[in-house]
Amino acid sequence: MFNLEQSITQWRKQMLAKGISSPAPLDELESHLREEIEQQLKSGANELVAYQAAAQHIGRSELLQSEFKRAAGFGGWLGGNQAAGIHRALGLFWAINCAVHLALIVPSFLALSRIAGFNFTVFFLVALVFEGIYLRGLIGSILWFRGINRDRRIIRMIAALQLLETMVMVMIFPQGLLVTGGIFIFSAATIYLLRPPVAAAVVAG
Amino acid sequence: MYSVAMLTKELVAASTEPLILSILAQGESYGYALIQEVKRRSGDKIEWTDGMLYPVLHRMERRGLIKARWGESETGRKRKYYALKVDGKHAMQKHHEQWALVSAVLSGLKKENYV
Repeated sequence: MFNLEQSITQWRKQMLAKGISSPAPLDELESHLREEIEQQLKSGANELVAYQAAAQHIGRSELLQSEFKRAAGFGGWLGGNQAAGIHRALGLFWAINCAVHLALIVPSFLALSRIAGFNFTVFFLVALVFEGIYLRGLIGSILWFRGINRDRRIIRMIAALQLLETMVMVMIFPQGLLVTGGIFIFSAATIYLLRPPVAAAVVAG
Repeated sequence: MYSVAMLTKELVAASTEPLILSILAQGESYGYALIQEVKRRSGDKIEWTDGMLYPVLHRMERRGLIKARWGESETGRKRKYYALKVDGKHAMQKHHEQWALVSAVLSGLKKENYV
């Protein structure tokens, strides 16, 4: 036996699962779905036919989601609200940062070992450890960018590393203050935003 | 009389905002009614999809052209109503001037071609 309310609940779940994440547009779409169903019922269709026609008419969730994002512009691409946008932007920043480090660590460590005349194998192994950290960081940042805040500890660690790095860099190379300053701000913001929940609770009072 | 073909996707996209603003200038309305109104006025030649309309409405709301409020339908169901704001009225006037200009140029050219 067809149950209209159950079907609408199911339809909402499908929309949520496929990306219409914020409740406001979903409520409005549901309201539209119900208007359409009502019209179909008025024109003589039974509940099942009316529901199917309305659901088909309202469109597939993937298309709806892309329309919502396109219409929202850059703000929409960043996320539904300001906080989500900041997290998404930081996720993107660390993904790029980790990818660049992954590409540069081994060659720069090898060059350093040649210049300083140190043991090649030791430098290579140290470089591999850093590669592992940045690879984890890259995965974590991509997940963070996609809204999954799972690897906060590793990203916080990388941010702390870069915070120190920028402080050293600014002393060696003061002309690069603009770039190092930018990285410093991003690192500090990341450490703050990804602070452990207990610390966050203390800050929140 | 000849029949006017369905509008191209590009023209539908370009005309959505001025049409929404013009309909809302007559009073507040909601998504479903906006679609039906445009469909009726165009003799079924302009058919907006639901998935296209709501993102446009939300964008216009963010730009401060229209405002929204949740209300109730006659049957007591939840419904989101949209109304024109002052900036929306100005934007509508601008759209009207621009579309009138395009229409006048086209009409002039059409006349010349037939003479």
